[in-house]
Amino acid sequence: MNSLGAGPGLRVVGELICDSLPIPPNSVGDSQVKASEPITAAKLYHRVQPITAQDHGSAVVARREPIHVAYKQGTIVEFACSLVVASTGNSTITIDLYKNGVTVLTTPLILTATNATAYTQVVSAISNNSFAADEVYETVVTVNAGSGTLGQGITCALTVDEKPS
Amino acid sequence: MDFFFGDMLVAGTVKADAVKVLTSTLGDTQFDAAVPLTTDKQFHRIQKLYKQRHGTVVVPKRRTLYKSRWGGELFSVFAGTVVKCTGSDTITVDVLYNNVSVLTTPIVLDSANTNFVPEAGVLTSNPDPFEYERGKIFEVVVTTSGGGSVGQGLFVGIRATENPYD
Repeated sequence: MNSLGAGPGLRVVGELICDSLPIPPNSVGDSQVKASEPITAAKLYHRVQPITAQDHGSAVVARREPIHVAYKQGTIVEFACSLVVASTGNSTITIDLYKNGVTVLTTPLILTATNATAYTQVVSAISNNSFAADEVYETVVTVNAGSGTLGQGITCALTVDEKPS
Repeated sequence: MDFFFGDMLVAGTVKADAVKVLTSTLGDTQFDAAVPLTTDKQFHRIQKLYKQRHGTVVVPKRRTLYKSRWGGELFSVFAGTVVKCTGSDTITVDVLYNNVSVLTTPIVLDSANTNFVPEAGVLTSNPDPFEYERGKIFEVVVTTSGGGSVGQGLFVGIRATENPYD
């Protein structure tokens, strides 16, 4: 390899054309990208965060419903649930996350009066975080009122990163 | 620093410990579709919509609209109907962030509105801009006044930009 310039830098006052120009890691940021030529969707991973929610004003009820249909393959980043009104006493709300009818959680998430105060999210551990295009995720909510009062306004948020193709 | 005046053509590879890429020199064509940019290196535009059916009058409801993944900046709240109210009937829409309104006053939809045309809410100036934290809840609160002349097909939206490092 030929060497040109031993100093701390070389500035080409003109145009530099070469067959290959490896750019060191972390050299490109937002300011290097032209606003007039934004990066197209096919060259970006996409973060998607669908939710399922129940009404504020009435107790959470058992419900199984779709939360996401994958457009492309990807991975789960996070699955977290919150209540807008916390349960009291020994009432519990259990949430599972299914992919094509099979759980993907290490264990179902259980919201209690102590671990799920109002507007505080509880994050679940994921046992299988990968998915393929067109796979269907569902949230499965079950309740046990016990002798307490069930919370209200459950919100389940699934955060996923999908490949562009 | 050494200077080279004039255009330089290298029939081979140029390597350097650092390469200064000038502002606004890269566009879509410089990015390789086989190595897409990961989500942690992008700001994300969020748009979430709450809606009720066309065909029946809007009913009171309070429900979660969005739970933030990262911190971000809320920049738009809007609401409208596909069939507007008539007479003196109204629909009032508020959006709450962790149980506190993000609007200076709730949005009121009435007979003066136009079908399919959203009305913008005015964000509270505290904070300004309206920055939020990760893992927080945005709720929509819908109330109505009147009876059979309440509008139909309500839509309520928020728009925000989230920062993967917040």
